[in-house]
Amino acid sequence: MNKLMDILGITFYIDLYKKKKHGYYQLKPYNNKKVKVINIPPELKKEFNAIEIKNIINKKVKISISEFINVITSNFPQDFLTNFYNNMHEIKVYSTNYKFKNFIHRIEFNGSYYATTNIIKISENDSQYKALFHELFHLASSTYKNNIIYCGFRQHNKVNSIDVGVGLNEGYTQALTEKFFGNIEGVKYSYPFETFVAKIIEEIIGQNKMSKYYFTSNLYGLINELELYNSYNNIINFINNLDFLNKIQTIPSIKNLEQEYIIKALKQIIDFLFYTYENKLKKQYNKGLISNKEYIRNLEIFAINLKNIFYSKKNRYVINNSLVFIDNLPTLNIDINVSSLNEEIFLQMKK
Amino acid sequence: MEDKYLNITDTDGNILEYEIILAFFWSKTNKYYIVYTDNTYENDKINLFASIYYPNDNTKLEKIKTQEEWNEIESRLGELYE
Repeated sequence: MNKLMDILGITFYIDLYKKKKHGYYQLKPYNNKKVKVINIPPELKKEFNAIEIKNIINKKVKISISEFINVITSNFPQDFLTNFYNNMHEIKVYSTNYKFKNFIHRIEFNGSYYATTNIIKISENDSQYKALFHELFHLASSTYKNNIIYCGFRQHNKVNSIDVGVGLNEGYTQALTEKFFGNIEGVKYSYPFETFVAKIIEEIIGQNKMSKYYFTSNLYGLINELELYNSYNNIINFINNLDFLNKIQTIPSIKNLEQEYIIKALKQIIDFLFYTYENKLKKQYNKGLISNKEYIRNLEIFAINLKNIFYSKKNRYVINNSLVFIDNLPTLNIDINVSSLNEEIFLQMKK
Repeated sequence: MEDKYLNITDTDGNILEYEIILAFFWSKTNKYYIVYTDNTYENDKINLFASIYYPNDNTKLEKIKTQEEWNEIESRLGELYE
């Protein structure tokens, strides 16, 4: 029951956040009756379709898109790539000013993909289009049907605003971006925690299945696959908690609740990853595919690799853990150390 | 990018400055719309204003007339922070 309440608490906060986000501004008519002269920027005096975007398909973008097409078509089977071919056919890339969006979310956006219109927007501050590859993966894994955007592992209903799987989707999108384009300066280190989690899920279910479900926008396929090793409720809680950690970066302030909710979400995610993997190993052991020694060694290595760090706006959460065997049953003790990002760390730089 | 401003001179000679958030042409009504703010807040919400403007007439700033137009403006604003 307590666990359920914890999850409900987080879900409630996300709903509250959604309402708050949409209530950030009040749109009203301009009632000044004394208007005499209006001065507008020169670009508004010409015919245009939208001031906030400006077509910038230039040589650099075309080269990057060609590179992306080569990577995708040579690394993934054709039957995964229906969304990719459909969307690549009429791709549009624009430069945009994220000033308003940055203001609303209080973080800096570098790029976005709009599945409903098949448009990629890149921040005009990103002159090297570093965000382009990440957005191209979104394009290659998206489809839009009956008011629902299916984007990789994310499903976003435009009518009722239900939005699930965004954390895992951003994580795997970034994992693929770093795998194939990580050599390009500035491409790495977006969504670090989500990427870490998505790579572990890929390790558990296998690269082929993970990329198949991703490119074919099949969240249910992924859930079914994970159900081989964990319960449906635990999987849904894991997806919701990763969504919460992804969204918390854009929540202006949840004051004293932040730390409590983040720790609960982190613990559930780490716990979920460990026991999902453990169940997979148990199945392999029961089938005689691995020995007892291999089972324990693999589990210990996995537990060590679950150490990570999560950054909120205010704090760093260092995840540490230790594996103990109680009555021959593996138990993961998770310890999360929180420190403020305002604490000064002095670096001794070698000259 | 430099900020884009809409300056309105009123009949008393005051110059009012607004930051432009969004402007677009909607083919359905064949009109130009502009959304702007004076960066003031009311109940923790930023005030945004919307009007119809005419690219080649610097004396007209019209009110939005229909709910359909308001819906379109809301939708375009939504895309900005989607």
